[in-house]
Amino acid sequence: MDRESARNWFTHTSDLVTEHIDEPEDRVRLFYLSTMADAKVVYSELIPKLREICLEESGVEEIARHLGASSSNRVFDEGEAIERLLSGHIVIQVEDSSYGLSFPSDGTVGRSIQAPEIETVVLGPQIAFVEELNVNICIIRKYMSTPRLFHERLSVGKRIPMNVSILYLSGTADEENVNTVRQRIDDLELDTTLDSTILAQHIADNEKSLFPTLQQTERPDRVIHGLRQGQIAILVEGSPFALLGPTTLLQFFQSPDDYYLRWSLATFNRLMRIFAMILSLMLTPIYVAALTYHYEMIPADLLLSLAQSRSRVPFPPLWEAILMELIIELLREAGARLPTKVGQTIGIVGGIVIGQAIVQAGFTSNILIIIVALGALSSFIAPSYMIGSTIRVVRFPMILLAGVLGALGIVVGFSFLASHLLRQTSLGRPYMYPIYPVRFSDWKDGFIRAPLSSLSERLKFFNPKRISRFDRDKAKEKKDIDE
Amino acid sequence: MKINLNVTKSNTISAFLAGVLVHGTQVGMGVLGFQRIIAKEAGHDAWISVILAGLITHVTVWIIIKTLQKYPSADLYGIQEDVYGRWLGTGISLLYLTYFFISAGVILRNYIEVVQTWVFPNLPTWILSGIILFLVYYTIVGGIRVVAGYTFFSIAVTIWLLCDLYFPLQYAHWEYLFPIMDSSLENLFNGMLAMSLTSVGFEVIYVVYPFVENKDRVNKSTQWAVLVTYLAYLLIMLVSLVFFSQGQLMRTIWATLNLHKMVYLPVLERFELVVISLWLIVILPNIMLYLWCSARGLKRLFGFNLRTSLNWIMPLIYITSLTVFTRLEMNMINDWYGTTSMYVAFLYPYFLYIMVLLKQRTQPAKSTSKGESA
Repeated sequence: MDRESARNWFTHTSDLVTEHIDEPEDRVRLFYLSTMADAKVVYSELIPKLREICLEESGVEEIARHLGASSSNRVFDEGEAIERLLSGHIVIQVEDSSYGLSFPSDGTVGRSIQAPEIETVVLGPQIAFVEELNVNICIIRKYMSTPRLFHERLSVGKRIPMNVSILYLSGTADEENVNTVRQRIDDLELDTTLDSTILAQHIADNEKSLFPTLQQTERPDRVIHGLRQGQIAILVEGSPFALLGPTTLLQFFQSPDDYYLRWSLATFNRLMRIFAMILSLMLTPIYVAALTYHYEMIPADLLLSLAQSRSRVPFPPLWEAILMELIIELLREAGARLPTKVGQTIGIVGGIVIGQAIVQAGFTSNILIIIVALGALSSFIAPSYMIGSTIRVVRFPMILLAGVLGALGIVVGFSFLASHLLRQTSLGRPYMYPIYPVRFSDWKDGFIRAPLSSLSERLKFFNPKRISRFDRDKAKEKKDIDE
Repeated sequence: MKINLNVTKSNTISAFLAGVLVHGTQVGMGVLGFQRIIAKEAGHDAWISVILAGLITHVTVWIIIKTLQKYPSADLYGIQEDVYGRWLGTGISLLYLTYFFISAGVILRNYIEVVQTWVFPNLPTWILSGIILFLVYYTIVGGIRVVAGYTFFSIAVTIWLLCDLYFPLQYAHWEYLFPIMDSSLENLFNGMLAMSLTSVGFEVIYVVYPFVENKDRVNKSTQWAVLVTYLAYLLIMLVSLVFFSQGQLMRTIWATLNLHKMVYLPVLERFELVVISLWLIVILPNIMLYLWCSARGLKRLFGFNLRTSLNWIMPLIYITSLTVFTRLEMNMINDWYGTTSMYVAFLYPYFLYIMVLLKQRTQPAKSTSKGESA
């Protein structure tokens, strides 16, 4: 920052407070931003201390000594002073001296730490990240106190830099993954407001894909679990969501809950989520395909009730299905935008008015309403909001394909989806792992959640330096019954 | 062209996946209707022909791997140039890559015929062919790893179709199988030859081999792949023989589909429509691999980019697939292709092996260090 713009800054910043301490000489001045710094520090600590010494005669060295300032408190030019002021420091300038002094203080306001609202779990810690980067890192360090937790701070953006932190467990995380993350963040040239969700899009392997390739989470326990497995966490100033990578498609269907519940329940939940995803993708397309082209596939009894329910519907099944799916999407979007106080109205409008009336008006069949509702419900089961939205969107092309090519269309859709997913990578690692490349040993913490005692190895996906988590034989050592 | 290939580590596949590729390419259109063609020759002893064909295939695949193992990391195109010299080698390689191309075309046309016969009589060929080839292109562009992944996915989501054979088995007449060894050896042999259309596919290992990471295990995994293929064929053949009478079988073009007609579930009938749709997933790896092998050939012989080669091959196969064929012509094409593939896939490997042996007696194999990058 040159002199001119520095002077400009001082005249055009109305929350800048200048205190003249030793009037009338006016040799020592104190600056701070009333919006950023803590005024209490200024008036009850710094100024009384300054008045203790004879300001007219003392130089900056003496003041520094008296205030207990060290080398890190020195500022040498205006640009540096402004930067410090912006981050809440209090700057003291003494006329004709080679440097000024700055003292950190924090008068900023932020949200207090609350329970997670987006990724709720029944059991387990109820703490979520907030918008402040330092608080978030504090939370992680607090529950994971080890010198092996490395923390690198990078700044993103050329003109308005934003703080971004990379956290990983050295000795566990793969060095190559860390380099990839560092490289991608360093290469960014942005001029946008930055949130971790935006950063995720910028550093994702394939920006055009519908599928998220980095996990976003507001739960510290999830981040800590990821770090222990060898994942890398990225936190951004001003964002309550941490990014975790590399990740796999399967991990989007896993919840921290899975580890808090007993293994059989957790396994059941995991399988149910995958089943729900397939159900959500398939139900409406199958309805459309069967009723448009393959009614001979439906057994007579079932066909009868289907025909009865559809007898008053004037549209072909494809239009009927698209109409219903759109209504559900409208309800969901409206529910997401409405303030919580009026949110309940949506339930009444959606459930009673549209649901009941649309059948009575003869716009859709009863059976389709059941199917669409089931599909929507299934898509909300996904523990990650991102993957749930993706699935809801993928459903539309599937329905269209089913309406055009019937069962063949559904298969074409799935084929494309399979090829697409197989082509995706997350930080250069295969996205479909451990389904492909096949690693059966990692399935026990993938599709299912095996008992904790058998999860003695980290997932090989993250390429951890240390595979073993604990000695399995030792953990399983049992005494004989008569010992 | 260098004979050996250096494949970057990020582009390799495991030996297990090489086996998956072999199995995935073997199972395709043939299995939908191979019963009639074989039973025509071998009668109710057709299952013995299947076993014979299986044994021959095991030996052939073993010879192919033996041939490949004479070199550190060569594919068919490299070996042929090494053995026959520059000009003759390129000529034969051109023929071989044309064979790969035709294989893809025959599979594509056969599938389109099945769809048009069973599901959508009015669906134009150009739409179906376009969709299938788009899926093929999209996957091949992802590289051999994605193709292998797709093949794995294809096997995983279709292998359960074998369980449906339980339904026709409820109506089995086991006496149809007796007396065993009723047909003459010659008939059994002819039946075995008629299997060739259904058996081929393993020859893609000729081109895939340099991409396999642990080459010492390829032999084992490909043998397993062939075994699994033939166990499935044998099962289907046996069920067909006990379900259909010989007279019925002669009039059934796609016997496997008719077997699936017997599936009755409380919410689903006419199961063969599901099978035909799912069969798209089965034949896609075939077309992908054959076209990939063909494009690899163009790259190896003329140094084109793989992408450029594909950009030439895809429109060509699309236009070829639009030609109108009647059922009779399709039958002729299949017979002709069956005979050709018998020579190309079953006899030629032995010849090539002998040639490699003769060649290497006079001059040992070149080392990997001289290989070109894939």
